[in-house]
Amino acid sequence: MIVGDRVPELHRRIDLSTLVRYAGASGDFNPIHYDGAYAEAAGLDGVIGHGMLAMALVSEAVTDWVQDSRRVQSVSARFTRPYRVGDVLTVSGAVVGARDGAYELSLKCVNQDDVEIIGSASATVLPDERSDDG
Amino acid sequence: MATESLTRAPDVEVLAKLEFPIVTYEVSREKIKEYVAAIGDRNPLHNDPVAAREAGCRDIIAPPTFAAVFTSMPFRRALGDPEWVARSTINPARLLHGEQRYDFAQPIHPGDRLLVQSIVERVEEKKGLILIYVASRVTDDRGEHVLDGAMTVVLRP
Repeated sequence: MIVGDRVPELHRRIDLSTLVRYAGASGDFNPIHYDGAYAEAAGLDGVIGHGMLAMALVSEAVTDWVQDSRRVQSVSARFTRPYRVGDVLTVSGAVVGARDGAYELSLKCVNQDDVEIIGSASATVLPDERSDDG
Repeated sequence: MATESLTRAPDVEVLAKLEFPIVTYEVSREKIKEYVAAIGDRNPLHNDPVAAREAGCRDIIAPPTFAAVFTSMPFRRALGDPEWVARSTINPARLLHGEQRYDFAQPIHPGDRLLVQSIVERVEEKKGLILIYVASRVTDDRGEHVLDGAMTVVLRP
């Protein structure tokens, strides 16, 4: 890993079943994520996806790349805009720096129209002891 | 009395003093599997005990964002208590997740017994929104630090 390296892109289509499975797995049963009538009554334009699922995909792009997820020291995400059923999310990112013995990655998650769902995300990753110089 | 809170305006001073129940959480292999399947994660360390042991782990480890499963519990349990909601001045239908950060001290394995404590760090009003900053600290049953969570919750008008 060196500064400038790009994180391989991750693509994922979001179906209603994706959100329902994530609701069950995460315990987040807020109806805005699966009940259209409830979401509209709450002032939203229909069902929206879980921010934390989009963040999980950001983190997954990193761990798919580094493989050893024990190297991930931190992950953060700012939820910029909602995403919806039928959206295809793309995570991209790059190594933007190295500080205190760890690499800093900057990432984002967009939908098929390039609308930022997570406009700003970051991760810090320890060097691979087997192959990186640090 | 939950319906009463729907007509009561959010009160920043009340929000800043909110308290959440302390949660104990035992990590199960099946819950990790369910989470990993839901997010479509095929990392061998998160799926395959043999691969995980070959990599020097004592068992599979949870993906980093599995932390969401238990760090959200204190707030969520509070929201499930109508009396807490009525006191809180929060209308749950107006809540959105604004930001999330995790800082990890050690990996999470099946069988880990965790203690999750959350506090309101501060509350801000910004452009007609109310931002509630919630910090969560997770320790294991030996008192060792496992991870910290920092969540920003947005209360829409």
